[in-house]
Amino acid sequence: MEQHCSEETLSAYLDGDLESEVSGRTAEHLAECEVCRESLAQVRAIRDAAPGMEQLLPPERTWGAIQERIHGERTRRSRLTRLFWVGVPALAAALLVVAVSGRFGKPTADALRSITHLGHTPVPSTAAAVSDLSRDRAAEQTAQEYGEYVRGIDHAIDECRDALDENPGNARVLAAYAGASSDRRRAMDRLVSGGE
Amino acid sequence: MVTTEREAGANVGFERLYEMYRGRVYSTAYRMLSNRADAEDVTQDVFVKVFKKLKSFRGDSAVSTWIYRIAVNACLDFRRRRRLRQAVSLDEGMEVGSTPLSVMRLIESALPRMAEGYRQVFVLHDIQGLKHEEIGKMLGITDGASKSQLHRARAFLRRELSPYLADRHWVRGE
Repeated sequence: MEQHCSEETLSAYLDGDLESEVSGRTAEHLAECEVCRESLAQVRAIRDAAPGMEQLLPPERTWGAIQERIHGERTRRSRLTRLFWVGVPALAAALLVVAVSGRFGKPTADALRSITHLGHTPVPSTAAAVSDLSRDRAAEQTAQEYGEYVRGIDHAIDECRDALDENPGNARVLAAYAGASSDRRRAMDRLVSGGE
Repeated sequence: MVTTEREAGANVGFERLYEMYRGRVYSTAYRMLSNRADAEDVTQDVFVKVFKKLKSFRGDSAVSTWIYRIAVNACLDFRRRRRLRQAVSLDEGMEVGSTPLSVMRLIESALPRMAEGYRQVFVLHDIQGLKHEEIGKMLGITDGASKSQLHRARAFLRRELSPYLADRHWVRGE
């Protein structure tokens, strides 16, 4: 071996990663070459020093920050659960009735069937109150309430996306996400079609 | 913050886990990312994930390997999301001594300039003491590729540190 050994070869030689024939030739060369022996000594010094490198510690505040994040996620998860299993179905049912009946007078049989089909029970008092309003006034109120309804669903969808970023496989959140997306699509369809 | 006895118990266990592994996680993240604030963020991410996944940990691997895997993935994710900031140069305030301790400081200062692939393997193998097989699984490379990256990493360090290592008698074991 007339040329000097590469650092890669010397590192592999140190770790015993060279094939025996190459390792033997490297050893022969090292016995004769002071330059390569110096390189080998330096590679060995680096390899031997590395395990003793200081174990660095995170700042004291890190533990508190971790605790806060865990607590925050628990709170958010429970809020999300409440939102989907109690809040959204009730809100969706009530506001769909308002949206349909407020804009076009009393709820149509189709609209009520549609809401029942969704598994939501209409709120008679709300429907009755809306049906008493004049057509224009009801439409104005509906637009406002409908906006709140859609914003509520959008907020829920955002919460789901955050939760899915953290845990893409969470079946409950996936189901809630699909349900909220479907509610939004259905509500928009109904608005565009004028409640038909 | 802790509301039930069961939660309190889980929290004590988790706190012990944090005490045991915070140094390894933070050191690995710091050396892979070359930035203390980023390392702190990643350390938080890692332990929040550890807490959430602790119940589903099946013990197929050692806890240390499991946590390292989460830490390495968190570092890789972090790097994908954010470009690495400019590393501190060796010339900035680095005093080179004449004891083996100074080699550690020299390595620390040169790590940020090392190519990402080399650095990951060097940190995990030579500093943290993981085996090539474990590293290969974590990084999705073969054992041979892990070895090759390691030898290139050491070669890089040798070239970088050679001016500081030359003529030091302890390097040659004298």
